[in-house]
Amino acid sequence: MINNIKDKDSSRKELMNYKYGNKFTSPEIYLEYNKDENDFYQAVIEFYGVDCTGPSYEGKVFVNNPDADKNTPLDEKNGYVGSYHIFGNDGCWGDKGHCEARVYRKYDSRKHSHIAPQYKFVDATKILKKYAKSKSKVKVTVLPRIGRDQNMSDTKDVVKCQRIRLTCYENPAELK
Amino acid sequence: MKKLKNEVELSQTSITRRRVNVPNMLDSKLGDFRTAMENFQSINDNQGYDFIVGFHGIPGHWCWHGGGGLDESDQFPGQNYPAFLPWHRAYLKWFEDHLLDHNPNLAIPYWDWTSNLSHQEGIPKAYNDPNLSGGGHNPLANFNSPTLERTLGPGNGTTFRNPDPPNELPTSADVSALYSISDFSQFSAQLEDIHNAVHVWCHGSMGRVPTAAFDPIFWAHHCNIDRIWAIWQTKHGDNLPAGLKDLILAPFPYRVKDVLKISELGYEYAASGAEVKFD
Repeated sequence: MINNIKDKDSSRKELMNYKYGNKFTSPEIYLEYNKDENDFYQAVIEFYGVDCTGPSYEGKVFVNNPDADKNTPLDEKNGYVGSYHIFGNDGCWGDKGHCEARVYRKYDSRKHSHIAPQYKFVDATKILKKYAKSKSKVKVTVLPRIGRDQNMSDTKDVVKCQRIRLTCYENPAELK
Repeated sequence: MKKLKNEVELSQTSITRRRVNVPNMLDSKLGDFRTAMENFQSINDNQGYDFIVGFHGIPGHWCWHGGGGLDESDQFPGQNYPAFLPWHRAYLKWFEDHLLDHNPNLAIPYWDWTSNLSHQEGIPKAYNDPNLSGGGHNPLANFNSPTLERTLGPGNGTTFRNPDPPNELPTSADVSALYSISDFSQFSAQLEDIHNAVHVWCHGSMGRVPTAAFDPIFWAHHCNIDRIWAIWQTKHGDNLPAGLKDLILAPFPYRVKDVLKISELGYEYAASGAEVKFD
């Protein structure tokens, strides 16, 4: 996770020809946080079961900004919280059935599939503190910037995951 | 495991190999490294570069990435371990052992992509110039792979890069932030993401799992990832999740617990180094 909030795109020339895949936006996620309770000190957005069978990409993560696009400044004001990076397989490189899920049996020596889904998270403490105080509905948007030279797979609908989870942590040092 | 014991004993009676920062390599050492890589790349059997780099993506597909996020899926049972770091450490050792057949006085150098120099020049000069100053091909710039040629078709067997601007590489602040994380799984996930960012930054062959290891810069990149883990270990030790230590790092003859101490694997990391040998 690289969370430096800075507009890395500002100095970038159009000549770089970056391709963006289709935006992914979650349904509304209801976040409950009673203001009278202890404040949380860290909040994260976790992505479970992220698909890596397609192209490599940088997933730019926005909170409550489903209209974000490639021209949106990467700052807190626009809901940008950071990026995650998928090192993808860019399609199937084997014969038919090579990338289909296998049944792994007891005593099976094959322990890991190259297409096992990934886990990703970004720190969203500042922005979730803001929303926890004003409203409790959160939409997570991921704008995928596709790696160049990815030509073996679909580069449109690349953001696929099984679950998105928001977690607000209390500070263990302050707990009694 | 018996083999590993022998190797440990061997390493205890040998001089520890020193993996240094690429720009700090003496010209003579860099020349030796290039010669060894060229010889390694010319071998087409199971002890050659093309075969061993094929473990990662095509055709082997052994590499271990991710872990820790499989949620409801029951398609990949028992794969939820964060084994990215130990698997790649074992892989580096396997690669280095075969490289040493061509010159036992070498080690893989590391590419510190957070350095000021990297943020100015991007890919290290030693790996970037396609031709050597004295003439001839630079074996660190690319690799013409029979496996890639067979998979991608005639004329497509040579690795290539298409990097982003150097100032977009991860920063030293990104890496420093990792050292305050005490939980191994969290540390591993975050370091892996930075590692992914460098792969994506390179684009070309490095930019996707199946072809990445064919590019010679892959090894300097992963050496740096391994170095960051080794530094983290000096602070936080080896407090690994239950079950991870006994995981087999196939296809290598190691379990995770066998690769936790780099001194027992016979190497160390240093920014630079020099020595003189007397006959």
